[in-house]
Amino acid sequence: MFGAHGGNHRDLWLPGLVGLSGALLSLAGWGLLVAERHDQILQTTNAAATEMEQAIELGLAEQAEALQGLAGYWRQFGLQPEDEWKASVDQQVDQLDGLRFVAWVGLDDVPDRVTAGMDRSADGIRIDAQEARRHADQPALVGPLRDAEGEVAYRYYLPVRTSGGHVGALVAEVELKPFLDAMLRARGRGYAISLSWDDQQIFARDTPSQDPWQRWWRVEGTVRLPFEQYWRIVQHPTPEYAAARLTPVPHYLLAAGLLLSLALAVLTHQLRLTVRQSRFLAASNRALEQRGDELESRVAERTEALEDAIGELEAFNYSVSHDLRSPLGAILNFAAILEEDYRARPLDAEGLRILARIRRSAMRATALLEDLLQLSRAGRAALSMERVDMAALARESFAQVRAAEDEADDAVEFLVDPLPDAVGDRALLGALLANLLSNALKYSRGREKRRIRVTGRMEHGECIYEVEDNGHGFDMRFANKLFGLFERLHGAEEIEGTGVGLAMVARIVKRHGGRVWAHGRPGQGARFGFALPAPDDDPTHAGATRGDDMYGETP
Amino acid sequence: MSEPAILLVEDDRDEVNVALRALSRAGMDVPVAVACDGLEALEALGLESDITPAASSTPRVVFLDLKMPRVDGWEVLRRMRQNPATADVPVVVLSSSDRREDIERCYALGANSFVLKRFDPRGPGSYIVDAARYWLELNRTPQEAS
Repeated sequence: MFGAHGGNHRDLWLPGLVGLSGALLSLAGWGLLVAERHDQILQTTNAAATEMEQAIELGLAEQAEALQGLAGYWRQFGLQPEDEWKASVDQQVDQLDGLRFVAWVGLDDVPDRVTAGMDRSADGIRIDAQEARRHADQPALVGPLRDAEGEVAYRYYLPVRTSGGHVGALVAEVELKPFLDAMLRARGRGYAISLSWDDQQIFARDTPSQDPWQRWWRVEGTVRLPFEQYWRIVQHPTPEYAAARLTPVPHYLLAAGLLLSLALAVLTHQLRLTVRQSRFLAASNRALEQRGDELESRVAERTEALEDAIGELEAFNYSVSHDLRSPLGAILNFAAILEEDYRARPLDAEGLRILARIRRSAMRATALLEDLLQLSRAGRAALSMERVDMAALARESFAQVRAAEDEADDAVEFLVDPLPDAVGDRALLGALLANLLSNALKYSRGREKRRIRVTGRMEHGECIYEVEDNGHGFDMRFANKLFGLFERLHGAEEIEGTGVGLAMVARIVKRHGGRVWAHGRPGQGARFGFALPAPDDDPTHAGATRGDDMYGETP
Repeated sequence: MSEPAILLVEDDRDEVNVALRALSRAGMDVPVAVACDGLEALEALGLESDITPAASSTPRVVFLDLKMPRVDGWEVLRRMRQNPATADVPVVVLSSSDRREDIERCYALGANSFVLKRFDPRGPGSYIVDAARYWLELNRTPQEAS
């Protein structure tokens, strides 16, 4: 969904981490459990092996001891008569498992005596005698011997010198399997055992487990035989035994752990996605709400502006109809008077005066319409902002206004101080200055030493300009009416004017984001001022003024 | 100067001339005082400030224009009605405005009549003659009762 596609790889690290940690934990737990099981198996196998070794060693020691005992008996009492000898030997043969035979092999002229099972052939005797002679000084255990059936056996050679002076050896042969079977009958269940003698395997019981852990569980040991011989014994658990010990529980746990980790990882991922989505939705909601508020406030603003505009328009309509009606009414009235009074006689001086009034009223109506047209333009035309040299513009405007004056004969002193540059619409600012200067001219007419002065300064981020005259002035009580449309402080006879000029000044300044004011006292001149926002491009230059440095920068 | 019957408050000199001419042509030979704006009207009525007592001579009727420089007709009307000396003097508002709000406001401030200034086909200023005839000849106020 929203933005979840873009950062797929980045987004997977946390779920990956969760899944991986879970898997590692599961593996570790599994490893511990398995290792513990295996240790157990190894330990029991070890213990069983030790027991087995000891048992076999003990069995062999007993065997050897019994045979030594027999040999010792012979040594002490000499060779008994044949039947007596046989009886005592048979007793031994019955008692010792796997004992095939016991024989006396004479090494001198004493004849051999052999129990049942002995190869009585001359060869057999001879070979045994030869072998016995080799061990005449030391008792020995010889093996492994394999017979024709592949059965493994071993022989004892125990040299004997009798009290009667005869020299011989006790030779006993033991078959390994019956001996070990008897030995292992009650022992080592669950273990595969193999014995080797001089690197030849001589015995194996059960098959070892095929489990790959087999090598780990292998226990190797040594069985000490009498007379410096030994067997190697290797033991493994049998498959059944291993299977019984190695329960699959750890594997189940591992699988469950891995599944759980995967589930956790997926859950984490989903959770992150959900959280991100809800965050995104919350942000979107906030943005929407904000936008809604913005729109609402904008609608309110516009509505207010529109209401203002409508109110202004209504006032304007009213003023226009009122102010246009009076000159037109005058024209109609005086035309009617002319008609009535001069129906039957030529125009005299009074008649001519009436005509002049008609003309004046018509001119007033025309001037009013012209001014209204200008005002409308000042309100509507798009501003083309530029840097304007206000001092030069003031001089230009003054020249224009002066040229348009009807009675431009008497001298006017016109002063322009250094003025800060303004940023604004040159044409509108020109119209503004022209209106103020024209007012100043009008209201100072008839005064002695007419003087008009334009001053300017920078103050609190504003460019301030003022037009001063020493004319009739006005009463400050009426200052608030000055800038309204068609508001006039003087009767139409005193000062000509349509009541539009200052309204236009106010409108132009308002469109530039500035403000206007007026100061005056009756008979003592007036000062009209306006402030425009200072150009903010160059703070060092913004304070500078043009022309000679009369005021310079505001300290 | 004899006691004025009419105080005409009007800033347009032409209107004043037309009115005076109409009155004289109609044979209404009554004294008329003219005020060129609201301030002069208040002076004529002795109402320049709130503490000045009203002049002893009040006109029998005031013809009052609304839109005037300095002090407008509404202000004059309000001041007149506030002062006991002029509270009962009939005031006829003469205006070129026929806006409902303007008319309502005049009556709310205590105007007795509202006459629309317009070109009258019977002759310039005929409406002033009509109003003067009504208020000076037909209408009776308690002060004038014998």
